[in-house]
Amino acid sequence: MKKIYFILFSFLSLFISILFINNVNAMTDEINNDYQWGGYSYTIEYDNDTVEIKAINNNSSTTYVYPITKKNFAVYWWSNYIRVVQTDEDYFYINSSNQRWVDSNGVDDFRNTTNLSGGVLYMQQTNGFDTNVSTFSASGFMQGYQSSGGQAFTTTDVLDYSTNTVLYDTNFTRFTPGYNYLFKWQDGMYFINSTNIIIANVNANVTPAYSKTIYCYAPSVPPGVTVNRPFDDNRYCNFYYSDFDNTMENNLSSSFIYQLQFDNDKDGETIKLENNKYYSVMYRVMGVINPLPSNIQVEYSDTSIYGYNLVDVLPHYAGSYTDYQLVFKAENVPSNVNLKNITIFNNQPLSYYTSSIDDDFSLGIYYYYKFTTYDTEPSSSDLEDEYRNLGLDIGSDGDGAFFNRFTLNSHGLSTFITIPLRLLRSFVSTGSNADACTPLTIPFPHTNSTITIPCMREYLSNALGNLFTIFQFIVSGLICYRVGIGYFRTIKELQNPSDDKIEVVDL
Amino acid sequence: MISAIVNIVVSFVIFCCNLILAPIDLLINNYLPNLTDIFTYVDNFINMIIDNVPFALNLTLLPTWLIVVIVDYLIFKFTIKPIVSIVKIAMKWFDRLKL
Repeated sequence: MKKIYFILFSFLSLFISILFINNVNAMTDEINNDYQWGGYSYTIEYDNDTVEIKAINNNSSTTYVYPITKKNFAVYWWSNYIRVVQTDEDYFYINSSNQRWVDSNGVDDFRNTTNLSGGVLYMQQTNGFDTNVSTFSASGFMQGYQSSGGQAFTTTDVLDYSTNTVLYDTNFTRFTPGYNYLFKWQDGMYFINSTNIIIANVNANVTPAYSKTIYCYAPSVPPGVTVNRPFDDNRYCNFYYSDFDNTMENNLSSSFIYQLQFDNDKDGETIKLENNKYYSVMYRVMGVINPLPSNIQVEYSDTSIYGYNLVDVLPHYAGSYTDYQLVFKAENVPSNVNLKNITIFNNQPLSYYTSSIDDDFSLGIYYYYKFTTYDTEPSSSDLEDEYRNLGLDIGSDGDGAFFNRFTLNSHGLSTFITIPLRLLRSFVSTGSNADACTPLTIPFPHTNSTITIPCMREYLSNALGNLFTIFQFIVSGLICYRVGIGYFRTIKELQNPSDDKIEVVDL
Repeated sequence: MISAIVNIVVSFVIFCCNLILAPIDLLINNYLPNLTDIFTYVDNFINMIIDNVPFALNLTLLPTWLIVVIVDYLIFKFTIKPIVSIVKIAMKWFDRLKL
């Protein structure tokens, strides 16, 4: 046994050494990346029929104006040039030879080229984000993963679009409820679709390419709920992300938006809001940091949009996700129209998120839970009861969840009594769902900064590639051998007919 | 399967513990509020540890399926002896009843 530990320790030391070397290289890349931007900052403004790009450095600023004449356009960086490509189609394509965006005729329809030392990526639709334009896709290379259901991702579900001419098609963006999605992209990858927006950086000219990962959680809709899918589309990943500078951020939007879309309540009934009544909505947001929502907007089936001020927000933080209960009061509600969706605004700027998350992150979607009507303003205890009655973990209803729904107040003596049992349950449930790791965020004392430790298995797997696979292969073999011996030994001991004693110490 | 059974059993035992101790918890909560605070801090601490169990398991660098195998093996190892003993006792009772 000591030899096995020695071998394991040796391997671990070796991989830590390689990891350290990789980190040194990463630091060098980061410095190069700053240099390649050449001290330029860029702003892009869109004004109905023109795009204006302003490149600024310490000595001068230059403005380039591009007239927009087609349905969709994109502004992107390529080989030290800012390019604008336009198309009347819903998609952009990637030219397989030079990796530039082209329209459906394969034409690289850029209007101007300007020698700029630096890069910027940007996409916009001519009619803004809420149009009937179904999908916008572009650039770089992307890998998409769709889970086979539940929370786990399997390698057989990998969809690799890195070698395809079309980056990805509309089918890929039609997220299926109950499935989870993971996206990885490199080297200037991003995409937008009409109401669902994902923009990713991304330090386009870094070698090796910089990459990030988004985990996109498609909602698992409770039984009896029909979710309204705009434009006959199952897109649910209503989040966006950018690590551009603040100017870019402001051009896109100042708010972080979640949108709950449904046309029936939990029991399948049409939802009609009545004046002077209170309504609560429960939903889940996946993400490490989720500040309180600041306002909501209610849209009816007649496409009218009305603002409603929040009355109360009750968050339930739970590590990798937050369950929210929102309460709002309906006033000036039109009659004879059905509720279509509720958009939830969050006034925190994107930098609030990006400054706190340095690497891969999961941020996204809600599970729509419940829509409840109150005649009078519900108290906090009413909301707590409602939340508790619904169950604490509806999104992943697993073994033993039945008992969780009857959770009593455990802030007492029972806390101590049940500690070993809760730990045991945690190990058992983690064993069956071992991919549930979330990066560990530790705050530095007396500062506002935090350090994030990524999930080491995924991190090392990306950093070391096949070496890590070989390491796992060897370690798995040794441990499986030991487990096999253990099984045989245990069964052999059971075959002793005279041994019917239970050693309490062994338990 | 074994994991699911253990999970259900453990959840049931926790539920029973909470139910039985609920009156005592209520007394402490109402008459010794400071003690309740201490319990709450301990509870938060334990919850923090439990929340990070997946991270700690991930830190072992073992593949997912291997962690499942190890957990199942440990459950088997620590539960098979009591189960076999219970079966033996039940068979002894059955034999005596036959007489």
